[in-house]
Parts: sequence; structure tokens; C-alpha cells
Amino acid sequence: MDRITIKIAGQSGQGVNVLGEILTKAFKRAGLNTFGYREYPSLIKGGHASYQIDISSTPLFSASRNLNILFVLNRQSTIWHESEFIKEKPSVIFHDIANPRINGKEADAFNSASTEMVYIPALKLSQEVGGNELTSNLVSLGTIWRVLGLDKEILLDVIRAKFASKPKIVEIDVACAVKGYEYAEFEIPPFTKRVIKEGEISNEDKTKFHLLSPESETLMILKNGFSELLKGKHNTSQDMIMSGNETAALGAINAGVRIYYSYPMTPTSAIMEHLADAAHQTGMIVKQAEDEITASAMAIGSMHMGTRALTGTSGGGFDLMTEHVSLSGMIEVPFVCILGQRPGPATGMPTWTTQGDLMLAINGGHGEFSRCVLAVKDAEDTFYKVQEAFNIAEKFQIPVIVLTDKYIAESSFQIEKLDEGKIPIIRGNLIVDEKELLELKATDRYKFSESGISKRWLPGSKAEGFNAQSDEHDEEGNLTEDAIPAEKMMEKRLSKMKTLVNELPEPEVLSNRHSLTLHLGKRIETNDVKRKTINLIGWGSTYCIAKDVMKEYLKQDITVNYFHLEYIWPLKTEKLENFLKENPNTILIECNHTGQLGKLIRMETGIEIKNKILKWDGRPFFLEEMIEKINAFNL
Amino acid sequence: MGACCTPNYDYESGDVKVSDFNAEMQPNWCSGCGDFAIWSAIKRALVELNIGTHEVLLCFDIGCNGNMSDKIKGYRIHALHGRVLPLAAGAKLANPNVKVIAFAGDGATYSEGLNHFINSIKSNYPITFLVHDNGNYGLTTGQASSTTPEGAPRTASPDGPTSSRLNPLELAFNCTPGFVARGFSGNIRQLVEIFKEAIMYQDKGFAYVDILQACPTYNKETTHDWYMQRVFDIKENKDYDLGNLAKAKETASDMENKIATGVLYKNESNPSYLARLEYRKDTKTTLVEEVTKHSTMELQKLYV
Repeated sequence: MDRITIKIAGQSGQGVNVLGEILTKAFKRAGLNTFGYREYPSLIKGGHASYQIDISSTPLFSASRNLNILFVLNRQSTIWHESEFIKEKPSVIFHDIANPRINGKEADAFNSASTEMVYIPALKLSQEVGGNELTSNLVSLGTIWRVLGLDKEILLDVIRAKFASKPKIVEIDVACAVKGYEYAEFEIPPFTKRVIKEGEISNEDKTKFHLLSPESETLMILKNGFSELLKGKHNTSQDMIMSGNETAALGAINAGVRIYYSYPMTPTSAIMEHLADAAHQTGMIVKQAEDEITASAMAIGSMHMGTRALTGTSGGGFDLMTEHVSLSGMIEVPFVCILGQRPGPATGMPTWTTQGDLMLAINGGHGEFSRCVLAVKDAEDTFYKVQEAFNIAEKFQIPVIVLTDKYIAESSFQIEKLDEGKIPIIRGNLIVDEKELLELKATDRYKFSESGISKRWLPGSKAEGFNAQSDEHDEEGNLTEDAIPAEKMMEKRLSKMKTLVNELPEPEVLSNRHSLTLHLGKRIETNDVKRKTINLIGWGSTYCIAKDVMKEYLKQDITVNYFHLEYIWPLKTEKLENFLKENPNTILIECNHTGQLGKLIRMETGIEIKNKILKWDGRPFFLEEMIEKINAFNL
Repeated sequence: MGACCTPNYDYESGDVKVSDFNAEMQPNWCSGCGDFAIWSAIKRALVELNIGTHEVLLCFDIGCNGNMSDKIKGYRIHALHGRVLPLAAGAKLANPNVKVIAFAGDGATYSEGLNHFINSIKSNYPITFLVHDNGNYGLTTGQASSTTPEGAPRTASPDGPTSSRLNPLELAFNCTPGFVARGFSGNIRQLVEIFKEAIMYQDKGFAYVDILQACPTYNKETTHDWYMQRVFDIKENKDYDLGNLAKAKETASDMENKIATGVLYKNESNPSYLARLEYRKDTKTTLVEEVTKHSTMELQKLYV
């Protein structure tokens, strides 16, 4: 067992996230690697929410579809997740409500997967130490932690840190966890060997019910699984648990962003919240604008003056920003927007994930102008891409769109310390020297040149002024509708695309034959490999699933190459064309319905990728699912 | 080097001349347009305040007002229709050392960008906002705007506007304003004084001036002469209390008989947007000066 999957499920507002965060940190502190994946409805209270943690002794980037442990906080949760159990994966359901709903369908599912159940009388235990319904969840965490044979102090430390700002309740929280832990040590009822039927447990019976097996076989397997994982435990003490929204916020701070404009919209609202929480430390202004039009206009105004301003939104908000994306292209004022994708069209599914806005990012905004579209691949990468986006935006004086999605923005990635020295601040052709400023002519601002990049200086500088003109204009920014300057100025602005495409880094090709073989300590010589090779291509968050899929195939000694695109527009085509020509069976993986990257590649290279794995139900690709879908191609 | 350039401009002495703002391109407004007066008055006001071309950012919306953007020198930005306010506010927040003046028409302000108008007053951004209010859309050839008189036929509404007329000052008075003025394009000297006051006020907050303006081509109702017969300078009323919001609102409500012009309301006690930011209270630098690598090491510790 090299990956164990735990899910906490309940109603929104029951504390699912808090429990998930505590457990994730606790597993990390135990020396393991984690990946936390959240699902929740667009509701404040009620509805169904879950927090899944995948645990391993090597880095993880994706969620499994099938569970080992489900901890349910309400009756209905069993219905939501019955399909996530399989016989091949030993599984247990912990429940702290007496009778989780198990009717025919669920009963069949749990029976066929041999799922076992255990009841924790958490509320009663919680009340015994002065707790209530909310803290009863910590009782259950304590029990689960003990059942899995893990070190009590680690869990208690994490709980103390989590509630450190609430000293009044932290003692009760800790007492609850201890109570649950001790309960598992001394009183835990054995696991059931059969599924509980609806109505089978009466109130009087509920503590006596689970009296079947003295020691569950499933439990032993899971316990052994954990001790196996712990053999690979390593120093994770400096690792951080961060979501893509959190790394985006830190990336902005590190990039020298001094003002953030946004209108709340899932999945990027949290960037604004994290930055606002840090404002007393950073001094960065965080402005919640009246709409996304305002946010984008204010950002351009601030960038025009010479600070670094950032905005973030989702597809619907980006729709509103597009007129300013176009303005940025026209007046050559840098603009950076984080576009966190969620399924559309329209309001779509606000709290779910997609890669459906690639074409929007590339095409949104009227007219033809230079722009750059980057896609982050995980939370760590988000920290760096936000910084790179500013360098590109300022160097080329263009709009840059940083694509992320709900999966990256809101999942919890375990990452190492972020390197603040990796991306220096590059401001391009920005003139600040007093002498140089005095020599400038107004016409230098939009001077024609081969690179398309002209000198930029800031209002307030002691130099000739110019007009940042949204009408077609001459080199000073004076309006013109004459044919020749109109033709030349459009050419100037668009020639920046050629300059940019040459400067963007080459796409990355990952292979499980290089990094991973070394990681596992045995080298497999390529010429020994007679078996099939799987070639994948994707962008953005598909990087995450590709990483984990490669690891799985390596166990079967199958080579997987993954061609990853992160600098998507303008598209560098040389390496891409070679890869696709050499590997005509390449499979395109995208979380959308129309295969937008595939379309883009065809548009730019003429090559059509026939093999596609697409998904558009708001869920990311799960590990087992992706492997099944790749295997179905029978390559 | 033409008259446009300011090669000998002495940034240190700051001796500002009207010629510093004179552009080679000549205005192309219709004969008799009120924009000429606003154009002259803003240059005059800047010179009288000794604000050099590099000390101010002139922000223009789309419309006839925006055609001023290349008929005046200095740092200018000619943005999108209806969006000049957030653009200008964003500029000001980044560098409060530069005076920021936004120009827009009644179409941009009271229709396309109404949301921005309300929120800019409420947010009290420290900028000056001058509205060229000519009672219709000029540049798109004479459609009705929110300030077109009731019953007045316009392009696309031959039987008159289909919504009621807005008195924009009344709206402004309901948004906790700090500075509200009304000008008239027929009185340049008064405009200069109002503009100067509105520019000087801007560090305290949002200074809003609605300028009643002739549109000789399309507006046959509220013409230059029509206004001439009705406007009066509020300064004529010696007892007028600038700090009385209710009275100012009442004074501004008459748009038919006696139309008050001048600075109608002024209150310096509303904190500006920047003054509300607790976490920047002791900061002396501008956001432009602060662009540098800011460490996240302390913040990273929260995630360990």
C-alpha cells in the first residue's frame, strides 16, 4: 500500500474543512506527504461537503477516486460516497452519528466492497469533557488517529496550533481529541463484519451494536499500511500545506504587487482574503471593487502610474474585464489577471473545477493585440508564475492572464519552502533615470521598432508627457485614423508577439524514466525497454494527474512521457510539432468538453490530436479513473 | 521641436505657463460647443495653481470630452467609455503625489458608468471629476442621455426620452459626498475658480463638478442662451452655508428656473479612501516607490 485515502464528509458548516486541515497537517508532521482535495456546494450551511486526504511517503499531486477511510458527520454522507469503495481497497467507515443512512444501494455497495463500519459515540464523549457537538468531531479525530496507530502528540500539537487564537476553547478541543484517542485505546467497539441496515440500531443499542469482531482484519491492513508508509517517512518539518490561492497571494507579495483589486468570485476570492489578512504586515492595499470592470480599470490605472497591481477573478468576472484587457493591449500598459476557472457557461457550478476558459483567456477582448497566457501547474508553481507574469507584462507592456482552476486554487498541496530569489523583478524598458527622462520625446512612448517594445515612463516623471490613447494613435498617442500610421501602429503592437514567443521558455517534457527511476533508486536502461510507451499532452492542472499517473505506470515498468504546456499563448510550436509527429498516439488530456488545447494546437500547427481524454463534470481527473481511461486506448 | 514640447521647462522653479499645455492639434469640436470653455478653463486653472504638465494626470472618458486628450499637453490617458473613474482612482492610489483629474460626459457618467460614479463618491477617492453635461450623447450623433430634458426628441427616441430625467447632483448628495459643484460653460472665469477649488480639494477626497454645457448641434432645449437666462452664482448669496448638505441638495434641485452654479457643498471631515486604510497610516512612500521584492518568509511560517 503506497497511498492511503481518507475522506471526511458532512454538511457545509459542520467543520469538514477544519477537520481536513488538521488531519492533513498531522499526517505531514508525521513525516508523510499529503494531498488535500475539497468538494463543497455553493451554499453556506447545509448541502454536502467533503475533504479528502491522500497520504503517501512520496509527493502527491492528485486525489484517488477510491477510499480507505470515510468519516461521516451526517446521515446522508454515506449516499454521496457509496460509489467510492471497491473490494481491492480495504475500507472502513467511521461515523459519529448513530445510524448513517444505509439502504439497498449503499448496502450493496458496502457489502461488495467489504467495507466495515465503526461507530464512535463522539457527542457523549465530548460532553464528558465539557465539549459540544462541534468539538465532538475532534473526539472522532482522536479515535481515528489511534486506530491507525499514530502518535498522539502530533495530532494534539496541530490542534493546539489551529486554535491558538482561541485560548478559551483550545483546552476543550485538546481534551476532546485525547478523549477520543483514549476511547480507541481502551473501549473501541470492534468493527462490524456486516453492514448496518437502516433502523437496525435503536437508541438503547447504539453503544452495544458493534460487538462482533475482536480485531478487524481491515483495520490490521490499514494499520500495517500506515506503518509501511511510515517506513518511508522523511523530514517534512519545513514542508508547508498550501492551496494555490495561498501561494498566489504570497507570489503577489513577493512580486512587489502593492495593490490588489478584485470582486468576490469563487474560486479566487480567497486570494483577496489572504492578502487582506496580511495587509497589516505587507502594507499592500486590498480593494474590493464594486465589480470586475472596476477591478480591471483600477488595476490598469495603477499600473500606468508604475506600481504593480494585480486582479483576480473567474470566467464570469473575466468576461467583464475583457474590455480592459483590450485597453491594456492598445495603450500598452501592463495588466495581470489571475483567472481561476470554474465550470460555465453562465453561473455554471461555482465551487467545482474545469479547464474550460483557455479560449476565453486567449481570445477575450475585442480587436487584435499582443497578450500572454500562462497556466499554473500546481500550488508551488503559482507562486512563481504570478511573479513571471508581472515580468512579462512589464517587459512587453501587454496583458498577461494567469490561468488556474478550482482544483489548484483550493486543493491543499504539500510543498517545500518557496524560493524568493528565483524570480527577480524585471521591469523592462521602464525609464526612471532623471537624465534619460529629460532626453525623452513624447513620441518615444509608442515609437515604432522591430521588437514592438518602446520606452515606457511614468506620469509624475520630469519628462514630456504623452497620451495613453485608446483610439488608434501615432507615436505620441495622438488620435489618428489615417491608413498608414494605423497600419504601422497595429504592426508595432502585434510584433511583440514574435519577440515574446522567442523569449518564452520551451515546454517541458516529463518522463517517468528519468526523475522517478532515480527517485526509486533503480535505474532502468531505456534500450531494455521493449514494452509500450504512453505519451500524454496537457496543460495547467493536468500536470498534477500526469505526475501521479507516471508513478503508477512505472510500477508496471511502462514508460510515460508527458508534454506539458504552461506558456500557452503565444504557443511555441517547434518542439510541440516534433513531439506530436514522433508520437502520433499521443493522448490529449483536458478537463473540458471541447478539447480546447487540442483545437489551439491544430490552429497553430495543423496537427490534430485524435486521442482525447476529456472530462467536464466539475470534478478533476482522479487517479484510478485516469489510468482506466488511458488503458482503454490499448496502446 | 514644435510648440508642443517643453524642452526649456524648468522643473525646479516650476514656473508654469499656459503654453506648456498647448498642443499642436487644434480642437475639432462643433462651433459653439461648451467644450472649448472647459478646455480653456482647465488649462487656466492648472497654470494659476502652478501645476506643471508632469504633476498632473489628465484622464479622459470617451465622447466629445475625450477629444480633448490630444489637444492638451502633459500626461494623459484616454480610456474606455464609462470607465474613467475607476481608472483615475487606480492611478491616484498608486501615486498620490500626482494630481489626478478625470473628465467624462453625461452619457458615460450617468448611464454607462453610473455604478462607478456612485461608488467613487462613496469611496471618496482623492481625485477631481469634471462632467461635461450637455444633455445628450454628442459623439454618437445625438441620442438621449440621463440628463436630456423630458419630452425632448433625440436620435433613437424621436418622441422624447423614455425614462425620467436625472438631476445628477441630487444623486450625488445621497452618496455622502465631500465636494459638489456645478459649473456652466458660459462662464469661463467661474469655471476656473471652481476647477481650482476642486483640484485643491482632491487630497481630501472626491471633488465632483457637473458642468452644464451647450451642445449646439443636438441640444435645442437647454441651449447656451437658455442657461444664460437661468444660472446664478451661489456666491451672490452671502449667507449660503457650504457645509449644509440638506440646503445644498435643495439648492441644486432647481434645474428649470433659478439654476445655482458654483461650489455648492464642501465638507472636509469625510476621510478619503487612503485615509481609511489603517494599515497604511504611517506609510510615507507611494505604491510606485514600493515596488520591490517583499519577503514572505514570516507568512510562509503560517503554513508549516
